[in-house]
Amino acid sequence: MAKKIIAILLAAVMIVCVFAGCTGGQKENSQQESSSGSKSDSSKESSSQASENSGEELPLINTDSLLPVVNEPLSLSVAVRVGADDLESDEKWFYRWWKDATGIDIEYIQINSDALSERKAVMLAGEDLPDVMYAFNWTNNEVLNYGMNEHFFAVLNDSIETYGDKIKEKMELCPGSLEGVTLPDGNIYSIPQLNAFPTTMAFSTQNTSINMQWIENLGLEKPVTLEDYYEVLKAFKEQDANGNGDPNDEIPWSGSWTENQTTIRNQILLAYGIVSDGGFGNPALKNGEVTYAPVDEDYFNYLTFMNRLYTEGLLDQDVFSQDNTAFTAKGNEMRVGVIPFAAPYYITGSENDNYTQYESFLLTADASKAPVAYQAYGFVPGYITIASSCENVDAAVRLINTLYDDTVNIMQFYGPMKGSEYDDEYAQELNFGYENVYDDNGNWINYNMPGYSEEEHGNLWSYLCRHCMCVAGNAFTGVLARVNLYNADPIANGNPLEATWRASNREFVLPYIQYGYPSVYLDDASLKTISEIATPLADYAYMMEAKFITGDEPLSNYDAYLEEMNNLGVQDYLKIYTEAYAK
Amino acid sequence: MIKSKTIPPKGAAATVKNGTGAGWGRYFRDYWQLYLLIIPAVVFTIIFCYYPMYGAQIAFRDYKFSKGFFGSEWVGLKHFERYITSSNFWTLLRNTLVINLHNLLVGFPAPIILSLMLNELGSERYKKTVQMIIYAPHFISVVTMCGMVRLFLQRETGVINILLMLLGGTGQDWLSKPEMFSTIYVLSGVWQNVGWGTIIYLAALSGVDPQIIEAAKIDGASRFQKIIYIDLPSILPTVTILLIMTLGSMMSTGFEKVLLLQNQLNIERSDVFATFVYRLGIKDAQYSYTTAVGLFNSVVNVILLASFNWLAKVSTKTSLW
Amino acid sequence: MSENALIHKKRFSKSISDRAFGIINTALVTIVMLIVLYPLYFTVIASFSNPYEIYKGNVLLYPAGFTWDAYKNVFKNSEIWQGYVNSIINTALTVVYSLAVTIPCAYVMSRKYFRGRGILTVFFVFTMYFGGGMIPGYLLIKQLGLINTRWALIVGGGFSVYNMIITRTFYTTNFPDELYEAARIDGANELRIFVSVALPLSGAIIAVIALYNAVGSWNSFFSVLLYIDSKKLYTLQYVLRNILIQNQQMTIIESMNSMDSLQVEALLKRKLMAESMKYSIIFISSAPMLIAYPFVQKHFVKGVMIGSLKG
Repeated sequence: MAKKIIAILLAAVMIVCVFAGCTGGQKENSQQESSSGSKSDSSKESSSQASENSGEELPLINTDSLLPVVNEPLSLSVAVRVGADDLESDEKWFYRWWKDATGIDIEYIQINSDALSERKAVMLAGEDLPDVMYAFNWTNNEVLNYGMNEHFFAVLNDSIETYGDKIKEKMELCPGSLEGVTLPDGNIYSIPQLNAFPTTMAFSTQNTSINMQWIENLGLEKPVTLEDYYEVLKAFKEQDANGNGDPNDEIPWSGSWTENQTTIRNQILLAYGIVSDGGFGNPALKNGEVTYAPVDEDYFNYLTFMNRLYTEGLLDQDVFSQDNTAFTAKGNEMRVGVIPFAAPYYITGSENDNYTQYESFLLTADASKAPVAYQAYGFVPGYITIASSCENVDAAVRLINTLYDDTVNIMQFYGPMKGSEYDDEYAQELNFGYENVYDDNGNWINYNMPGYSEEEHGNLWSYLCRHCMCVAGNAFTGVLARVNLYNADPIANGNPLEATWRASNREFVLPYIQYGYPSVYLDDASLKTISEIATPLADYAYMMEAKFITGDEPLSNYDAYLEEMNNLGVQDYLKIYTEAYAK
Repeated sequence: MIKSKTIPPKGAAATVKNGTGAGWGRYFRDYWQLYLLIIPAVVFTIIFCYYPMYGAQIAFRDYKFSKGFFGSEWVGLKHFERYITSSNFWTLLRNTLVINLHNLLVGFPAPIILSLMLNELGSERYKKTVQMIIYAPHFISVVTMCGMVRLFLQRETGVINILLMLLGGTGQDWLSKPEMFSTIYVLSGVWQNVGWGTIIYLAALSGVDPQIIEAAKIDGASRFQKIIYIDLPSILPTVTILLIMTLGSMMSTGFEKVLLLQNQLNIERSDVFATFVYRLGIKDAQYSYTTAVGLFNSVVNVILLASFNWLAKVSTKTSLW
Repeated sequence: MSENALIHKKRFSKSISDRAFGIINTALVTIVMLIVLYPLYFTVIASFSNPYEIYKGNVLLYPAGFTWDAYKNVFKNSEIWQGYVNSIINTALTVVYSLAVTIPCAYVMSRKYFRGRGILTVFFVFTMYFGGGMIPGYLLIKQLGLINTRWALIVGGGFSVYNMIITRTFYTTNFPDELYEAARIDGANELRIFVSVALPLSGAIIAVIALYNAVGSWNSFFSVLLYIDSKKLYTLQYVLRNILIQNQQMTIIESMNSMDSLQVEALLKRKLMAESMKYSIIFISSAPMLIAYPFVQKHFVKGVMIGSLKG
């Protein structure tokens, strides 16, 4: 019923506009003519052709240039996720600009990020989906079910082919993304978020760092094998590593299990060659073969090693119960030797230069083999979907396409570049926008926001979130990783906080990265089995892991544990995922 | 003086006492206003409670959004079977029951005892001050409360451990001990809610006739006896009803608080039906299954409720129905 | 003090064992009060302390690293005032609405001669255990056209069976047959009895139910989460919860990688501030309730009903 009403209304709108001869689109076209020399890569082509042919009838969707999207007014509803700082949609700069520049009358439906799972459910149940669902982060199984099986999502192959030039361009730069969004029936039901480009690969903050100053103080070497690591941790604990005169205040290895367990776990699992994201929610790869970390043949060694560290106090005994703030308090006092972050200023703070003491490092179990680092596939497949009930899927895709342009991408976060053609009245009224900052050699360093001041606007984060588009949870993530990061080199451009750890990652982690288990789409029967056994398996593994490590459960009972895992169906789990991988 | 339009004949007054005897026509003529007064509640319940109940049927179906509530495939008791035979059913059952029974033994009597004690306070002003303070924790949100609990139980720096160390004991990481979970859960609940729970008992105690108290004193009763023979009976109906309702929710716990106090080390005692359903329902979108779980638990609860209600009816005069 | 209470006090002060009882009782109550008080006190001092100090355990009896920031940060958010207004309006409406539905219903259910009493009890209690779930509830509100309106937060909260049962018990115990029959003989009909006799005696229970409902409405946030999109309708609890949760969480891994240190720092600062904001938020959100409570208290007065029997 609702669909019918929308259809009639849209048709009415379009008819009225055709008769009234709207010229809105043409006005936008002439604005694009005057391009200012911006350093960032802008792929607008001059479209003098279009604005001169006012007599000729234009196609609905503009394919000659990035903007505007349509030549006649069209309505679409876009559901976006918002956070605590966002303003109402008609007050946000980016929303207003996007509407004006694209020519589409966008109805923004703001959904609080907290409410997302519940809202997804009621929208699907009520068959009341908005045209564009932005940043909903559908899982593979959801896209499979709701897209392929239940037909809630539109098929996008042709639309992307014809109208999604920017999308295609960026997906080609991001390996695996095209395969990742193509379902077993050959159709594409979602547009991915793309995060990893060749130059950003090593910039994962989820690596472990070790305090090199302490190592120097004690005359040790940076650990390479697990045994080295054990010795180093022991030295940290027993001796006065941080040089303050007290040999007992050091905590060799710490973290907050609730928030960093994947990093902590991976530091040892990777040493055995088990490549995964560090959790038990997905299978892993080892030497190119599919395995599942909690039942891998080396898992027992992992548990034994961790147990050893825990009982000797080399792994902080509070690790399972403290939360991140408690852990940060310890780290702030320079009491922790090994931290589960590659960017140490998270823990040490940035007011002093304590962060320079830390370096990333990898371990290996076997001295003859090279270490392994984990690299996530850099895309989220189910980021944006379009409802099959959308009246004009092509226009919707073209609308999304604008976000994949480099310039527009930056504008989502920082507003328009000052003085550029996008710097419209509203932006000037708010004094919202950025300037590029270069160093003496003409290299780009950073963005500066002249309109921002801490006294007036508070936290920089809050300030940006008010006007920017994509608050996914509590972070803003656009459809692309931030442009400057893969264009610029912060090592040369002097932001020391960033430079040190990224250089460290580049040297010690980047050469060894391997990908984990790819994202796959399972068939119905497999999906059913997995949905029943995956969570109980993971739950049990997590519970027993903690007990083995703390010693509550003696390691001699490991076989009983394995048997229980078999009872829970781990063999089926492995079989399904191994077959899926082979395809 | 109260005026009225008609003076009901004596015959009708006689039917008041036993409520039977008069036929429906007569009855309705006299008492139709009662039905008028109760209509809003009935209408509300029909619209907001009974009408949406069609959603419960997905416990017997394989619910798919595109097929809707009535179109999804009927699978009968499949979900219930899966639930009962699942490996952690007994663990969840045990954990839920332990927490609820613990709560019953400690958390239920606490407000009763406290309200009796408050009632005995000599100074009205002091009583009001105490009340203000003990009501306040109720307003603290679960999230913050659990944050405080975790903070106070921290091994090195938590207040509880500092106190213990002062008394000569050693600081422990209490939250990582599974066997302590229900104690922590119950005691923190008592702290938060005991004050609030006294409200209803104090309201009941405020209805006690002072003349009866005077008479008791003349008979030579001590304060303690007064409490046992006068105060307690006056709140007994309230206690009974609340007890029945508490017993009738043995299979349920709130999920937010458990979720916030859970961690990997205590999970074998802290995982309850509510958190299990939350993980599967919201995170895995298994609505049919979780509805079946909820339905099963509700049925058990209702059986318990009916049994205890019957018991109360037989032994005391108060009961739910 | 009323005459009755005075008699009460005098008579019981005399004997020694009673005095001892009084002293022990007061002492025990005081201990309980102090135990309950400490975490509240802690909340106050923590809200004025530096978050790191809280976690190091330096905050025990007085603030450490005194700062007003926690309060300043919360109030910088202009939505709070809007939230206050919304919460007050919603709560007031909910209280009136629920009293109008619950009190008459409970009174009627307490009348032993009311036919259908047993069936209706089952009718009501059944709904405490069986329901349709979140989705049908949402669809209902949608069908009523109330999505994204204030009323979505109010209509569903009109009647709680639990509260009704408590009220019913109150009427059963405190409204004896003699009183009822006296009124009947005087010639009153049922409605009249309810309005002129029962209601005036219901001060205590009306106060209790009003308070229960007010707190329930004041603290609720899930309905807002589900039904409300427009920021103008956010209630106080929801605004505060948003601020807190979104400040507390660390960000998604992928997005951390695409931020620079300025932003990460800003994020970390916010997260840290959230720790002490947790505590300042308690006061900000519960202040009205705590202020309103004393006004409700004076309805718990003994002997009100007995006075009416004599008169």
